Amino acid sequence: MKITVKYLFLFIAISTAIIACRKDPKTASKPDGFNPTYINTSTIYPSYFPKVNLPADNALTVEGVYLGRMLFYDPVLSMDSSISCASCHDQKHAFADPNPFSTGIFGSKTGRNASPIFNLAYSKVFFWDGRQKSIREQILEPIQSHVEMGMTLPILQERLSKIERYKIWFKKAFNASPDIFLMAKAIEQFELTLVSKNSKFNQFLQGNNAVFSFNEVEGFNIYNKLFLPPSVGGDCFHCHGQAIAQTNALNAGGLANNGLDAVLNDKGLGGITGKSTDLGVFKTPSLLNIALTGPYMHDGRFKTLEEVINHYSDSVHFNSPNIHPSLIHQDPITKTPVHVKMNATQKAQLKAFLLTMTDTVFINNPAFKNPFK
Amino acid sequence: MKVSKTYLLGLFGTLLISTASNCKKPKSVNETNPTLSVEFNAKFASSPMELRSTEYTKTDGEVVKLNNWSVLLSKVSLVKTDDSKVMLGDGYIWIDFYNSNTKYKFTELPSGNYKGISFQFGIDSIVNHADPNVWPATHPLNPNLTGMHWGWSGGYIFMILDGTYKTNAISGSWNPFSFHTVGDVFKRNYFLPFNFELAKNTNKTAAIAMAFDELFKNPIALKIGNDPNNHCGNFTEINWMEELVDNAEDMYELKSVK
Repeated sequence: MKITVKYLFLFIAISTAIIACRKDPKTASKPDGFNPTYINTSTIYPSYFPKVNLPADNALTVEGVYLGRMLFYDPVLSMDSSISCASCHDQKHAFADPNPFSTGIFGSKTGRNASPIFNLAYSKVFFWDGRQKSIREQILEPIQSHVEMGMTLPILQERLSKIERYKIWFKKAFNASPDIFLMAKAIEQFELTLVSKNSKFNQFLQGNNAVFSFNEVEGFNIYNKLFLPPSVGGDCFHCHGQAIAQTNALNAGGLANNGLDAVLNDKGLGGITGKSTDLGVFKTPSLLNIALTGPYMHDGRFKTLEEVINHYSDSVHFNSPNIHPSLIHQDPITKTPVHVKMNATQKAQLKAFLLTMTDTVFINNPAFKNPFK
Repeated sequence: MKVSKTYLLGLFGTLLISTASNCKKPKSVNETNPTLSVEFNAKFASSPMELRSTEYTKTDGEVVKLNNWSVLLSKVSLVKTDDSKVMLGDGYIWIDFYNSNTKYKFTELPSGNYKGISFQFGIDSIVNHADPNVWPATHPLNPNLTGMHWGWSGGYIFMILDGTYKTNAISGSWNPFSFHTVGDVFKRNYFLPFNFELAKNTNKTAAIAMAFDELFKNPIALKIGNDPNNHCGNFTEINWMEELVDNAEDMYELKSVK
């Protein structure tokens, strides 16, 4: 009896020690068979881009990215299995749509031009009107839109659950069965790998000045020169600055009215918030790959870069509601707003610079292609 | 012998339990160093200023609606009564009134008596023109976070003021204005006096008022309409902006620490 009590005491002591010293369950090893390969994101995001915080609850893994890539290209995400994300976001066009409005199920048309998809980690808001705050929230909208993929989430959940490859890859990526919200996280992972960083412009930013021709350098200078009437400057950098050619900060041009219309056909952010101060305000896009992402503006109204340049040079509507103040420049004598009025050479040089932002490595990267082909 | 075994086993067990209890972090029984939050409040003529909604009339009659007001400060420090300084964090603060990024919390500060807060408007030249992409995603100098860097073309914007104005309340139409303070020449150092004590175990807030209207008053009265789009692009614009920044001396006031 004495021995039993002694050993009981010893057992309790050892057990207490083991329990007290065990790892926090959050950091304990994952269940058997779940061992995703985490991606070192420094291999994806170049050091000369601004640093970003990736979603803390959605670490990029090889398995998660591949699952997201399959889902991105899979038309089963649409009600009639005819439309995938890639139907409107074509890699050849930097994941934009070459049509002004995209075609959804049963031939229906969207109300705005499909945005390109790259460098999304830097964006704070999504969609032209900036109504969503995360990639994964954004992803669920077109899937459920009646004019895009027309799907319901319960039906999609059931559909994915019956597909063998998704049973396998959701398990590999998340140690879970197919699930709508994990689907959104997987596509988010894939889209976070879509980083465009290999254009001639990127080489120039890294100090390789020799890659630019004379006209491209002149175009770069116009892009970065303030417009101080009568001295001409494109002043593009205000809203399209940094290595990502895009301002994302919402206090500094990340959302802006660029003076397209005196009378608004589309309320933009104002249609979401209901605020008069948001009328005509849209998300500022990146100008990287701009030669590939036309037609331009939220409604695809401009077919060519020349038309875009002409707008900013000659046609900005100064009386457009909530026009961004950086687009209004007074004549120093008359004190009235004046257009930039670039001459033909300046416009051609600006276009030459914009063409240096085309990243052919990105649009041909096999890691981003349709995995079913 | 039996007693010794029992004793040894008991001792061993006690040691194990003691070891186990040491695996947990000990609960601190010490006093904690003080915490101070520094908050910035936009004001117009001593009243809270609302962005993107309310109209305000300047003393010269111009009517203003402010859309964005962002400021970069550096070397933000508490000043002790012996004139030594305690830097708050790494000293950088980004104020963005539109997005309500106006409050910063600093922990583990030295307790003692202080006579005010000092800071620099803008940032030092070396940092201003160094690679902005080294800063972490949530740092006040991260360009993607704040939008206050002019890309590859030259440094940080120390202050953004964007909005609309009318020449007077009765006539005239709304026109946009945009002031971006860019350039090393606009750095200014400020000291805001206010005697306060930070004692152990205390958590206080320092409230700094920033009065928009003061930017246009003293020593030089400035009209927005004279140069409504000023991004420091030429000599005339720089001159005007210097006057605005000089006026800013009256803009800051440390109202309370409690």
